[in-house]
Amino acid sequence: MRWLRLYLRARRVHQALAVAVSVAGLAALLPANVRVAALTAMLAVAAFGPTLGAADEALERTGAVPWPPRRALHLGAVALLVAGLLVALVVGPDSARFEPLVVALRDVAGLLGLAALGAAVLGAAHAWVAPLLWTLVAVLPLLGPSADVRVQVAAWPVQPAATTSALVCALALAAAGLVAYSVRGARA
Amino acid sequence: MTGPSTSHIIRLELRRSAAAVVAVLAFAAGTALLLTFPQGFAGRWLQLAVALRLLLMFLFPVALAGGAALGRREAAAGVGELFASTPRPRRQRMLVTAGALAAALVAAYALTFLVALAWVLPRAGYFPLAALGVTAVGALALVAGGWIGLAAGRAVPRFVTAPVLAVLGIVVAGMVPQWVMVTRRSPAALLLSPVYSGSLDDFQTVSARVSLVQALWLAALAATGLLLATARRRTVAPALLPAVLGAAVAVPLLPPGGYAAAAAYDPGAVELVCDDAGPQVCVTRVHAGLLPDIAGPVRAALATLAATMPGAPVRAVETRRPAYGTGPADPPHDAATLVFAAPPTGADGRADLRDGSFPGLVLGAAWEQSCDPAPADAFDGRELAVAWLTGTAPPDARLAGAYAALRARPEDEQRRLVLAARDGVLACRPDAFAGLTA
Repeated sequence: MRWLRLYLRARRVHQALAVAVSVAGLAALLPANVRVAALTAMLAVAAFGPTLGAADEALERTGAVPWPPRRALHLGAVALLVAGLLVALVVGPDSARFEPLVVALRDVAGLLGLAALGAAVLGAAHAWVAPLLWTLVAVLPLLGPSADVRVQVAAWPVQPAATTSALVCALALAAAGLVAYSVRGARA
Repeated sequence: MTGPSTSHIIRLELRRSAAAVVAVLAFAAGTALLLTFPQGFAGRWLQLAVALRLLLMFLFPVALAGGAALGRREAAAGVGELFASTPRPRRQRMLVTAGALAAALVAAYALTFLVALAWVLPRAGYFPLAALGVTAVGALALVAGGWIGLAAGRAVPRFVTAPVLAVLGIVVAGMVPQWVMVTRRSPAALLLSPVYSGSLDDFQTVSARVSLVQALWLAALAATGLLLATARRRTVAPALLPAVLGAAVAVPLLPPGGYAAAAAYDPGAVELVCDDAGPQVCVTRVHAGLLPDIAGPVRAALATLAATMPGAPVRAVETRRPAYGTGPADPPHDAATLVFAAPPTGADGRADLRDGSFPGLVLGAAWEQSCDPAPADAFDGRELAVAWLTGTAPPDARLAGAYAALRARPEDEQRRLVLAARDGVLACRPDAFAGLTA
């Protein structure tokens, strides 16, 4: 327990949680639609981006601790937390407000994967860049739900739940992010 | 003793800060997005300027986020106290960063414009000055966004500031105006958002007054951003003054109704350009690039008409009524003239004739006149007349019965009915098509 407490404090998880809760709370006041859900998921993920790296990554890696399972666990916990927030405050557990649960879960998984990938490649400080850019593109009015596969991939966060290519894209990002971050960790 | 020149310092700052990275990202993503719909602006300067303003929905949040990431720099490096201990004022330091960011963002916007010009120039026949004004307002919006981001990043030096600010930007400047427009009559303040919403007809222009007022407001907003980014704590309130004043002056000067109200009919765009090699075919100046592609099909339609009926039109002129939006109706024309609507512009700036509907529409235009109100059953009547003319069943299955009834009549009677319909339409009789559709 002591290790966990110190870890959470060192990674400033409480700050990220506060930001994510406030963002989801504010989003609950907006008209509910798939674009708002995608933006909310992205912001909550971005809030947890800095927790993916240590204050001194190089120093932390010298510790005699098996990091990969811990990193994977960290990502999994963030995914559950953000998805829970999104479902509780924005989407609604009964999927009645606007979009099926699947869309919220897909967006959280894909965007978190993208953030993890960004942390592994650019560093935790820039983990937010890729999710932000892709979400900004996806919410453009130009790229709504579409039958064109290219648009479905370019705007995967806002596609309907039944869109296979969007789901595949999100899962691929999630898997790539999980593997890259678990193995390499955040770039120092 | 003179120090290094300002432009030298800004060049140095561009090299060592992330401003250039922000600009490259904005340029790459912006150009890729813009080139997904080249048919929206190919061959038309003003449509390109408007497309870039639509794109601000993406670029404006990117400028905000980029500025915020850049504004965090001193706090991230932990040099605040060190720098505060030097006699050099903060303003001088921040002005360099702000200048580099502004230069990088404007360069990205201009470069996107230049790349897209490759789709405009080959077929552009009309250059309205408004295109430059609309583009300049967009560039100014990016500068304002970047500087506000800089101020926000300095005030709240956290990683999450940049994405939060970007989302605020897209919600306030892009989404809220759309929600407001759908729900109720749009207030004048909607035009404070630099993000163009809706679309502009080829025959319309953005009024110079709106662009000027928007430029004024965005310059005031940029000034506030710059003042906030460079201000010390006690000068925060005065720094807000330009933006508040700018909004207070701009809102009463802007028309209510959002971007639809900012559009005005452009008489320059609808001046006629004619091809006299054969029966005369005229199009509007803004569509001059389409003329080589459509002159042939239009002359073929004129020939078909001349072969089948007396008093057929001998010249064809493009309509000058906007396809959407408001504009003056065409003046009534005589029987010798045919007034047709231009086909849509394709991705390469040429006429998009792929769906094959254009020849039929030109033939049908012989049964068209600028009337208010239009004759009853005008669409059905035109379709029947074209079907009779070409000898093919009308594409609309609903009209199969009327077409068969028409064909069942004696040959002379058929011709008489079709010609009578044309005479009726040209004279704006409300029951002009009664003989055909009955």
